[in-house]
Amino acid sequence: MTEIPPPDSLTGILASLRERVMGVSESVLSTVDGLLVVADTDTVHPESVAALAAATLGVGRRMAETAGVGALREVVARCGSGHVIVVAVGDRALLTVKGDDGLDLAAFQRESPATVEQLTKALASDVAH
Amino acid sequence: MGEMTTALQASLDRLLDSPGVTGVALVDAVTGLTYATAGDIAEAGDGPEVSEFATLIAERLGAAGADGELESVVTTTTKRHHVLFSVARPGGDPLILAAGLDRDRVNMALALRSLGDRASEVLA
Amino acid sequence: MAPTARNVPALLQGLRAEGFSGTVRVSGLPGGAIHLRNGLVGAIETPGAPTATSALLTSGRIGDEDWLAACAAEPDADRLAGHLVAEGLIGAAELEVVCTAAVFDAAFAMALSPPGSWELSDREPALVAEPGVEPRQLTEETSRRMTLLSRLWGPPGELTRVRPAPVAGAGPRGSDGWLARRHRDVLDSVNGRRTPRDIAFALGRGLYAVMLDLIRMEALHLVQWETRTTADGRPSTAPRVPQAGATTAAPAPTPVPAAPDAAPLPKRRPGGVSPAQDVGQQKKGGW
Repeated sequence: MTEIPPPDSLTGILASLRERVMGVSESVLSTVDGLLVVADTDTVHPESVAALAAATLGVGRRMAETAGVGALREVVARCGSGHVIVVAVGDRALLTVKGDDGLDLAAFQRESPATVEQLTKALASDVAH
Repeated sequence: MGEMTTALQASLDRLLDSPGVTGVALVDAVTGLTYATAGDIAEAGDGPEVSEFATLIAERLGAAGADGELESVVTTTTKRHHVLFSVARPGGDPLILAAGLDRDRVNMALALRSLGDRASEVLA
Repeated sequence: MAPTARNVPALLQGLRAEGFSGTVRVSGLPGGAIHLRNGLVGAIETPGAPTATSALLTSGRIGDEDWLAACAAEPDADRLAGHLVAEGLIGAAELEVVCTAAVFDAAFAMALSPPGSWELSDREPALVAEPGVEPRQLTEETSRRMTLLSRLWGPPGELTRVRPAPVAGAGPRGSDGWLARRHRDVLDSVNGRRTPRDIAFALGRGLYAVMLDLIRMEALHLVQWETRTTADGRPSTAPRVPQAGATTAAPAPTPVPAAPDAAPLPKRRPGGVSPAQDVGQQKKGGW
């Protein structure tokens, strides 16, 4: 368990997720309106991801509702050479994570709630200022 | 090892039929891991030493301006030859076939040629 | 029932004696699943290193569609190897090499961090090396690799956390034509973000092999180790470069001045004590 205090900035939180979970390559924080907030990326185009993330989660939610399986937790797209995961951050934001083929999905699912909480707090303090 | 002979093991066993060959080993050129051996293992050589040696030679040759990939290295002593061959492989890290050859028993040129031809088919 | 073992290697020895077929799940960062067949290690799955499957697909040795078709035709992964060979997708000997290499690589990857707990469970299908690797051989080779890395570089656990970057002005790309092809591929993959493990997955190569190549390329002044900083700008507490001086989160790394000698002398790194995250080399319970 790391004893280092959570980083203060949004990008710091994203980078910290990359450090803590093996296989996380890049991530994008975006709004439900499809706008980019901040990104820790390398190859993906952050604005494009931001535009798609809200739609992805939206469809996921509707599917969960239609299938009657309770509230959506996250959307995990398992692909030929990696993963894309979209998870809600509060009511107004979304986190999209790109992982490679060896993504430690179990670790991600353990760590993402804390990350989401840190992001939510950091976003709230942004709004407060 | 187990009772069954794997395809790789059979492939190396067949190399012992090559004239003069006393021992062979298939070694990873990067990690030095020995994947299989046949015959006198000591004759074939130690995996990590083999890979280190091959890398050193390849780099020195490369730095000296030699073109292309390393194909083989022959080390000769009074009693024996020790040979390293690059093994053809469609992908993945390079492999080395290391072999000990008895000098007394064999015409070296022919032996090397024979073994060299077979080395390229070890993974077939 | 497996006897209580002190650590994973001891556990595997015991299971070897029993001829156990099944799965050992080890928790940790990374953890992993060890697939045993008659006491021998057939495959290991861990986020820390590419599996044989991952290596085959990423490198393109087997095409995605061929692979999916094979999996559909042979749902029991234990029998997949035979099917792949029968379909002519890969040679038996070559597949053996790939699967065996992956087992050793994954064992090494798991040994880089302190092990957690383990539990035994039933056989889960996996693409397995046949007949599998002797646990004792696995343990010995893993120790050998650790020792070698310590000699060549420093604590292997720390090497997993470096994020190498290309050295600016290392020479026009044309001049590295003498570099081995795989070194060039690694160089193309190095970007200051990826750890050796990330590069291994990106290239479909082994973690240990990539580490060796990175060490070599650093000695040739083609890559430099990034200091471990967060995007926040908090300075790293474990300086990675021999030059003293605090490292701050400058966006671009300052190039490390070339060492005067070109010979590949083993480079000792400073003690590299880092709080909390130092997983070090505790051998108790390790491989």
